[in-house]
Amino acid sequence: MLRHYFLISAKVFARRPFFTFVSLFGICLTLVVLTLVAAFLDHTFGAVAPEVHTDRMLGVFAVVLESEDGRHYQGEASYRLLDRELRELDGAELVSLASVPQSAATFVDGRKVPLRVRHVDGAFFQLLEFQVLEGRTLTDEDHVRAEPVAVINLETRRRLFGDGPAIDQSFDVDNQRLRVVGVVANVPSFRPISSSDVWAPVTSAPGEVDRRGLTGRFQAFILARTRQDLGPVAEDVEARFASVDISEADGYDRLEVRAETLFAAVCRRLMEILDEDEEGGPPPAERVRLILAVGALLFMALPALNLVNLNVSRILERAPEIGVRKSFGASSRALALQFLVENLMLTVVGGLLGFVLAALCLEAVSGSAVVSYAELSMNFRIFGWGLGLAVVFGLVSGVYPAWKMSRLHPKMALEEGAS
Amino acid sequence: MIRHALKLMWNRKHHNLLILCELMGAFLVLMILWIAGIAAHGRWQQPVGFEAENLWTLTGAGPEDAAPPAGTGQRLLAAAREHPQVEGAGLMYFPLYTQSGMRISNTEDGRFLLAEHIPASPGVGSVLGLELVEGRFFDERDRSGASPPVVINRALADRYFGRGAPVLDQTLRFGETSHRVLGVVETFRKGGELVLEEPVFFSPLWPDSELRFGLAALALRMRPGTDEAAQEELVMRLRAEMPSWNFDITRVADQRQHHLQERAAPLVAGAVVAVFLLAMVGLGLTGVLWQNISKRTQEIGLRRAQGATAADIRFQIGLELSVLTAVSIVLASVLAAQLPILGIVEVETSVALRAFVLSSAILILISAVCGLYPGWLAARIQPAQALHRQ
Repeated sequence: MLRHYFLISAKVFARRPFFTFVSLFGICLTLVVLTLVAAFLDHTFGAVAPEVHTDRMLGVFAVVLESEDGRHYQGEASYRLLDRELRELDGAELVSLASVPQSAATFVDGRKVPLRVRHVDGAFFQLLEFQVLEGRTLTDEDHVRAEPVAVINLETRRRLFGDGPAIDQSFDVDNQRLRVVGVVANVPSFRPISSSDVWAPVTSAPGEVDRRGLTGRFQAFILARTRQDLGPVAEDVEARFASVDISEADGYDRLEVRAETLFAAVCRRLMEILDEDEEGGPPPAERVRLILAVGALLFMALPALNLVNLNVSRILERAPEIGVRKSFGASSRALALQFLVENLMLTVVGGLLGFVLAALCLEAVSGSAVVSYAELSMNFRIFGWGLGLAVVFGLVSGVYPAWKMSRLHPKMALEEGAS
Repeated sequence: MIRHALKLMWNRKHHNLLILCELMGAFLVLMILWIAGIAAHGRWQQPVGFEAENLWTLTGAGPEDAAPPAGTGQRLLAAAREHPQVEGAGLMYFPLYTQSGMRISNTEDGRFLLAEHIPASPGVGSVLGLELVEGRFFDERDRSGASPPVVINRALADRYFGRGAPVLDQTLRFGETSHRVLGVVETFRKGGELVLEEPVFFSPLWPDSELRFGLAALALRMRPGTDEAAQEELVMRLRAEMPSWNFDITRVADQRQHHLQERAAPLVAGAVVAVFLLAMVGLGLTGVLWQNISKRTQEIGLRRAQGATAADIRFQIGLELSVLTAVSIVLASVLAAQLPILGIVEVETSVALRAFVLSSAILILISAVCGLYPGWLAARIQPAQALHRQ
């Protein structure tokens, strides 16, 4: 039956190449744009190396401090605070503390090389799976012994050392002289957990570990043992910070800490910026998902309308076929289903084409310097998203014409066909 | 004639409604694109209020838990000025082309006005190349005033005192503090060319006072033709002065370019997508009209048989399409106008009007081009064809 539908629609599409081309053009365009958006989201939040365990990972991205006279701090925490509270968590396989990247300058032959430096502990490179190109990554031993060593990314290796050897070479960053022990692949700048140019043990930075106070520039990443542990771990973190003595925070009297996924944290931030942070409503992540879905549907509206128009205007072209089938007893439902399948087939073909075009676009973006270190590539998740979007688009644009076609009166259809 | 055409269209209203919706969608896409483009172009053409060429920014940050001792700013400025290529140096909080800043609100006497507060040392006025239209930038003479002096931009003056009202020596109250207005600059946009002008005020940051951690940046006016080597020399010199601090140095011209790229990228991407969308609408419309003509062979053939010329037929097709386009432009404009009326988005009227004119022109052009081939097909229909079909 389905095979039959496919054969018929292939014939129909081949009969009027102009219309098939116009339909495919619209479908492709829509799906290329949506697939690109999906790819970008996937590369920011999805399980792409080095962040391969995003499904089991929570982060303490910011702490919130509030005082009774209305002062408000929202930002990273100090190493000491996180180190004291988070090291022994039930249900956590690994806990790593890392600073947000800090910009620094180093000079090579009188030219400035701008660098971002992240100070990390020993667990960081166990939690994240970087692609090691030369040497090794940082270990617990480097951390404990406060070795002034560094892992750099490929781009930094090129800028600092050119084609010469990099391992065991030293360079100056700020007040530190660091010895390179490893080179890893570049990580796109929009991956907020892992991206940086230089990674060095936090213990090697003077005074960093013992810095007093609750605020600083550190975040914690927690890898739960299983996905089921995520909830209990998050609650455990909140409970621990609820009992923290905050007398050392100057004048603040309330500390709020959340362990959440990267996506949830970004959505919360976004909603705060948009000033939509109402209490009691659905969580920000849900609302952002809803906004994305509505946005995708809105974006589909014009191309779908275009496709509907084309299909509706071609109803009479199919009239003989419809008339014959109806007079032999085909139900409207069967006909509607057939036309819907036809439209779905077209959108899926358009989706596949769109997927290929989107891959080419990503290649172009990766090659250009629009986003630093953007190395976007396609994967099966994005492919799945593209296919899903194609089906949604096929349904949105196919239902009305299919319904309309199936209602064509057999008499009229046959008359029209006879002429 | 027109009534006749309208009647024909009304008889096919279901079908025309779909085309109408599509044209409306295309018009809305055009409006969004033009409004964003015209607004960005307008901002880009306006001066930013400072001279980015040969301007460098040197940022420094020290250990967080130890506030730098009083006079640190003085020492940093003196060290930077020692360099032979430095023409002038000033100290300010929040460097140029950054979004960070202090925004202070004025809720006194019921008015709510957000303004960006930029503490700056007396040298900053000449280093940035600020052009004052009234009054002057603060200097050492202003240390001993009853109320601290400020230099404000025109946007703040207009909103606080009202357009055309006297500004110099007036009192500006923000929160607890009363300031005396010492000077007015026409414009100052710290964020760069593609951000909106915000109310801004500069207050004095005396270099020998205490600095707040990590906020201060040195603005350096370099001699024309200074090469990059000076960057390392300056950083090394300042590191020697403050060994526990981290320094970074950037050319403002580079930041400017980065800013333009970053802000223009979404516009360019949006424009590319919109052009493809419009091409799709155009092709779709051609297809639909073409299909319609072949369905209307009898009707058109009959008209030809009754003596209508080919030109008449072309006119009819063109008229139908024009009416459809005009109606969709009107409906879409009414729809789009709801957004600013309901206060969901803010758009300047002049920008919206220009966007309207351009969008309408392009939509009319698209529909005219799309109607050409189907119109020509229709005009070729012979009475015999219509009879043959019967």
